[in-house]
Amino acid sequence: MGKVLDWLDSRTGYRTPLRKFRERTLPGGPKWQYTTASCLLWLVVVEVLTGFLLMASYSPSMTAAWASVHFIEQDTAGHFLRGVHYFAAQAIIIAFGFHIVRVLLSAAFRPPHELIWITGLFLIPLVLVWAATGNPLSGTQTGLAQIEVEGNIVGGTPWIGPLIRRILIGGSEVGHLTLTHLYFLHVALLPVLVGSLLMIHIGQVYRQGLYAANSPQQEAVPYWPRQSVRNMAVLTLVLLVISGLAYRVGAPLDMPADPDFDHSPRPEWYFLSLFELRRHFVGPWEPVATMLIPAVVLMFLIILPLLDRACSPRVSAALRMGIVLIGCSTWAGLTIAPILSDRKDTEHQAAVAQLRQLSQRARFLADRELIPPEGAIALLRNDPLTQGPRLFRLHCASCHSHQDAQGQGIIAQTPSAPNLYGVGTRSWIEGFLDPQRIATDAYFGNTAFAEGDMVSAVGEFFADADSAKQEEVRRQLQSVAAALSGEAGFATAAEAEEVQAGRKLLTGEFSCTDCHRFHDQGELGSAPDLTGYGSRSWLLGMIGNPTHPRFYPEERNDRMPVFFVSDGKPDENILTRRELELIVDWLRGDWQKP
Amino acid sequence: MERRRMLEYLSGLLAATSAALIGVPGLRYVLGSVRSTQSRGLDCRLARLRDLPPAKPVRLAVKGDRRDAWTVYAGQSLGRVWVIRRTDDKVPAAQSQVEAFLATCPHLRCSVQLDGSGDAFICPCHKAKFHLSGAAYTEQELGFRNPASRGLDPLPCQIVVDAAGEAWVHVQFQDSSRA
Repeated sequence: MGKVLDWLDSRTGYRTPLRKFRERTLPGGPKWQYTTASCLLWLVVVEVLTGFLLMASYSPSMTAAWASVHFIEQDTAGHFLRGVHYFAAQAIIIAFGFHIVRVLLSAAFRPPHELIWITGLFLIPLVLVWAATGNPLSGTQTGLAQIEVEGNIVGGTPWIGPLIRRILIGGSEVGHLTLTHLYFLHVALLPVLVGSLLMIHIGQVYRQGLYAANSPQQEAVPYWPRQSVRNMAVLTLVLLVISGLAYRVGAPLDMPADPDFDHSPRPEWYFLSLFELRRHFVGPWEPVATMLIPAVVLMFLIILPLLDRACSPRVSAALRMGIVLIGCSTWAGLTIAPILSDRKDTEHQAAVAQLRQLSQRARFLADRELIPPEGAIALLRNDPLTQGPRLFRLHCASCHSHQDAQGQGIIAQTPSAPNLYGVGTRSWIEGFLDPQRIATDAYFGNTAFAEGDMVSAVGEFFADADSAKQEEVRRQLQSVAAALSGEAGFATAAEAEEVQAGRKLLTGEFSCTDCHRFHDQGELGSAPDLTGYGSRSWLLGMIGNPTHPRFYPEERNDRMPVFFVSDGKPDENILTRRELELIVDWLRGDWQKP
Repeated sequence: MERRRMLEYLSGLLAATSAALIGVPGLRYVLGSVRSTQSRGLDCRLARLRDLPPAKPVRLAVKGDRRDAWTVYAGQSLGRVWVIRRTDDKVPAAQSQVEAFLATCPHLRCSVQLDGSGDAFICPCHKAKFHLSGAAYTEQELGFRNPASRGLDPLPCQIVVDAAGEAWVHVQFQDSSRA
């Protein structure tokens, strides 16, 4: 083995730089505070490696991004790697903070280390932008909202703002090109820029050696193994924490981006300070917070070595400590303030809760069925549970309520039509056939039928009957209700006998077919068709065109509009066919359930 | 020196631990993606049993959902199968025997046809020939070396009776019996 390594060294000379690394000395000898740099560097390596692995399965397209990330999450190793990628990014930012503090307190920027200092300072915005370009790649609602807001902030910069925004977003609106541009920035341009600056940074560290104001003596203790073991200990600890978080918590995946849904976007925690700062500079003053102040801070830090040279060592030490204390507390204050105020903001909390609910639903649907070619956005758009209430509120709730027995649900603006909660189910029909309830708000009370033929017919079922006969009529009507709920497909196998009995009563004793058509008995025209009552096709027909002879033709229709004329007449349709189907499926409780 | 060696080993151990924390899942991930994600054996309903004449091969198209990693394409034409009903009407539906073969030639995947007489399958590309049992003709039977090294690929077939009492032929469709 030794001979092989000797040959390798004679060809590549690898042992020389390795020796330089091993025998490097440090001011004051190996210390725990010197681990920040190594930890930071190795975290970047981990981030790049996990990034490469994720690239093997990720697809940067608006239709495929969310779906491919969900696909990665299905695999345990994929879930873990994505989690590491997510948490290591944040660890890099935190470690960077520690590193800056350490460098400031030890005045490590003193000549001849100026280039190390400057490259390091420029790495701050680069690393932050690197992180910001990564978050929207999952195609989530929060991710794309963030990049839209960040694009608008950048766009607010005087002169070059709009141009940079167009490059970032890939046009004037967020779309396919946004993801491809962000992907290019994230996996190509920014790694190259960061890598180049890092090469200069680390090259200079080796060339100039390290400096520390409080221990100017270089100790003769070599780097390896006394500093290396400290570095590795810190790195292992940090990686254990990241791995634990990655495995147990994992990276978040909220709902696929959909402009139809409102949201209350917030930046990631490391940008919250800028977000808070921006709140105090409204309108045309905004670039002051987002561009000017950060630029001024950066410039101040760049010239700090000059200031340091102009003061005495003790003044400089006080100045540097002051910068650290003021910087940290300001940053902490600006970060915590929006977190606290968001907690009290009920509207924001409601939006957050809705996002969480929708995201859970989207992930549940994606787990159940694979994603159609249109992309993950179709999952919630085709989900009756998600779209039903929204569409009902928009189109039906001016007249109809959808309220359960506990009063929960949607209340009509001006109730003038039956409560549609459980329409077509046995209990709903039983209420309908109850003389005490048919003329109430829940059914015909507010309609033109409040004193019509059906109401009086139901009353007559119970007319001049003693309490025993009334009880029997009630039970019979329950069978009729069972039979009608069977038309909708809601009757269970256990109710089969009752359904049969009810059907006989419907055509026989109660003579419903005198007015209603029911399969091969009765005629259309004077009352709604009871064939397939409450079924999907019946409801599609009823809501689509209530004036059809099957339902309430001509003057018999109270006030219900025609919602869907035909596919060939899109201008005349109030609802699209898809929207009509979603409302009907929702009313019937036909959605994917756990 | 003792202490130094210990620290050297410790450094190496910690470095190896850190590498393993990321490297092992990384390796699993890479190897995992090499596994086939195509569903093995998609259950497809082909035809009513009573529509199939006994002992006559019928070529049917298989329609189903095609899965591609995270996307599903619904109602796709997945391929074609030759179906032969082995038993006649005298046998009750649930005990009927039906066999199904992939209609692609095991040689180079051309579309296998029925020959003029209806007694054998032939492949127009290189003249491979198969018995109605699916077995490839031997060299003696054919007169030349059969390009197909094996018979037609069989697919698992079941009779499923639906709620209305109708017997349907189902097949577990797979693009190839060799992955």
